[in-house]
Amino acid sequence: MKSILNACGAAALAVVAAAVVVAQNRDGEWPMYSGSYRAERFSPLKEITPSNVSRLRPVWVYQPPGTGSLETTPVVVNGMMYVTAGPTMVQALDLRSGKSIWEWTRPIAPSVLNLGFPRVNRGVAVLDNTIYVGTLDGYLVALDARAGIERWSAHVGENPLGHSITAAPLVVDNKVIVGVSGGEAGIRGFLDAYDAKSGKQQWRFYTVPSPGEPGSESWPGDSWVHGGGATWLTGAYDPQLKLLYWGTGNPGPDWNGDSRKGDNLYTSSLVAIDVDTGKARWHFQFTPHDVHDWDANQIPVLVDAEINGRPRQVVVQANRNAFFYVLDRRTGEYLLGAPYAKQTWAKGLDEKGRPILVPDMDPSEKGTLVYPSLQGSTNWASPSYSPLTGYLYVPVREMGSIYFKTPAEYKPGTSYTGGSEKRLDEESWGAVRAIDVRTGKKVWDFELPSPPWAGVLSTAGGLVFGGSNEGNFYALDASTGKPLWQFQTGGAIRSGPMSFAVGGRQHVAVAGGHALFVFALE
Amino acid sequence: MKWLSLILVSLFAATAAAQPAVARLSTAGASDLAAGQRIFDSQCAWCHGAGGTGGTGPDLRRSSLRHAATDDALVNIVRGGIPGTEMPGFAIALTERMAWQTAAYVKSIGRTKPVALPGNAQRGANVYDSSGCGSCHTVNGVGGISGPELTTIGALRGAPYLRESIVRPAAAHPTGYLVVRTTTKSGEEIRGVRVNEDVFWIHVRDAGGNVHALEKSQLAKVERQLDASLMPSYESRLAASDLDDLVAYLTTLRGAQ
Repeated sequence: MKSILNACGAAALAVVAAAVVVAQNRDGEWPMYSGSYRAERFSPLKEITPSNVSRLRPVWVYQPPGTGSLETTPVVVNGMMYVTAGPTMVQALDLRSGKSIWEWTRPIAPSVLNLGFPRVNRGVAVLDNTIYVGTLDGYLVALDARAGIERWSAHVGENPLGHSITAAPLVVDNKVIVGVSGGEAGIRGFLDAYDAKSGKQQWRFYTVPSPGEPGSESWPGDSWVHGGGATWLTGAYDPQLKLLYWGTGNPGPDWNGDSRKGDNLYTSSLVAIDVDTGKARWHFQFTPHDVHDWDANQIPVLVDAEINGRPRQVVVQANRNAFFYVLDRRTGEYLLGAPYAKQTWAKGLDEKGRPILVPDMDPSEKGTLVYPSLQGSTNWASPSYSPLTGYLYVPVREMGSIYFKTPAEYKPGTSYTGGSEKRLDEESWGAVRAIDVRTGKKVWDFELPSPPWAGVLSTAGGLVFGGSNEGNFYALDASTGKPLWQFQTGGAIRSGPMSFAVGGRQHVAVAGGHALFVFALE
Repeated sequence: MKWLSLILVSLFAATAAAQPAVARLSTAGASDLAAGQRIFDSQCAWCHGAGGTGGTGPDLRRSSLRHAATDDALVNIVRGGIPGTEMPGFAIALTERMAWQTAAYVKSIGRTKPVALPGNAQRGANVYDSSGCGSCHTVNGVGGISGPELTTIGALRGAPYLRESIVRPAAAHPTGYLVVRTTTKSGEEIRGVRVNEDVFWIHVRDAGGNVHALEKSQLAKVERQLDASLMPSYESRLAASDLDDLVAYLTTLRGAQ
């Protein structure tokens, strides 16, 4: 723990250290999807530094059976690595040799629906001797970590209606928290908690309230029934406050809001949920009445920093809608917000953080040009926060789209979107962008030829690792963004890098194409 | 007959699994066709041109479309696209009924009598040769490499787009033919088509067909010329009738039939 405490620095609040003890990397492990409950995707390991990173070399490569891009972030605990591949497969790998110890595959028929996203899996959660994985056909499965034998499975959502799971679950105390995809299929989104030992459901939080519940006034008629609000990425957790922070997806239908006039709570929002009761303590809606498919599922990151001259415990998010937000994580109070990428839909944010809309930016039959594109200024690719620099490193997508509106008609198990887009591909570009969370201002950009799908990792060694659609895996100086090292993986990187230690050596891993690459200093 | 009916049953089952049974496109009424046309104008005309006259996508005024031999195939293309081509699927945007209406409209376009192009294809072949098109473009295995291969261009693009790409190549340069100008730190310039680019390298094919592998750290500048083409405009080089003939010739290039 010493290195972690050093990493956080003397100025950090006492609560930081307490949270780190519960949730941070233990002895070079990477115990969960985002690295820690704070979802910083920050490694306290510091063997690899700007001065020696030029000696980073691949030590092994793993290629699972099958095809398609790997979107997994490996989890490393108890001397083993657990990686996933699509549609639903888990591999336990030996850390030193990269050889498979066991493999678990769920049979997924071609008829299993994945409406609006690829047939991928992004990772597992671990508690003691059990691995938890969500399945494309809508189940949560518990596996024995030693041999990959199934212990239980829970039916989370109805795949024939469009529910599916690609996100890594999150383990908190004795609960497994898992969200669902399906925002393009007219689902009513929810977040579930299951007992880690038995698989029995503990609670369900619906992201769209039913009539009479708070927020239901934002849905006319029965529009709430297919209101969307999927929970398709992994959230963060504050053990002191016992609060989960989970982003919610677009309302349904995506691009045609005619049938759902109103704010459409709690879609395109961040919801803080009491982990014991499954009840929301607060919510913040980034994009009220979203008609551009700007899900707010991007990873929320828990940060302790001085905001507006005062030390605060906050949750920050670079949102798909092109604005960066800082919220008090106890109350949800809006503290700071600023655009971090090109956008043409809002004049700015008001004093409560609500967007001030530019007129006539809704999708239309003839098409409406809006920045950012449907995929947003950032998407599911993880950001990273370094407590050493105070910067949030965001994979940024600079792209516009022409948004179309079409009639929407709900039919179970089909797309319920009400439109489409035509992307402006040729002029688009990307970046890893460092944003100072204390000000919301950009510090530096590392430019990429195209809008990335790769996540970002920062380390106590002073490095930022990122990827590109063009296959590059690279290391940047965390303070300046200067490139220091790169490796061509030969396939698009659509995954989040992570770091672990084995045998006293720091390693960095990333999936590129259909292979997992593991690096260490030569 | 028993084996025949078995085959028929299994064929029907396979079709039913792939695509819910749809009514024949010819049963579409006026309101369905009007709805299909609205969708087409909004979603499809970007590539296929209003009325299906062709553009970056093929001219659809044909009684038979080579990827859509049946009604079901046509509906499936509207929903799922054509893998391996530029035709995307619209399953996310369109309900099954909307896809069916769109397909019905496309089929109705095929029943309209195509307006004959003004040029003469045979004379156009001579214009192609005498203008030196083959120094950069290849047809049926013969020609240069700097420009796109044209062996099947008539099946891929409509006449309005082909005309535009001859008159204003810069406004119509196809995907994969982005012009870049790179300048090394010592001031050497290389201009050509970007054949590949990643974060650290860029590969440029110059007008002479030579590929340059350039490490970006050694470059002072990489300029992306979004509105440029290596091909000169032939507007002033060709008589109006020659241009008509050349376009007519290009539309006949449809590869092996």
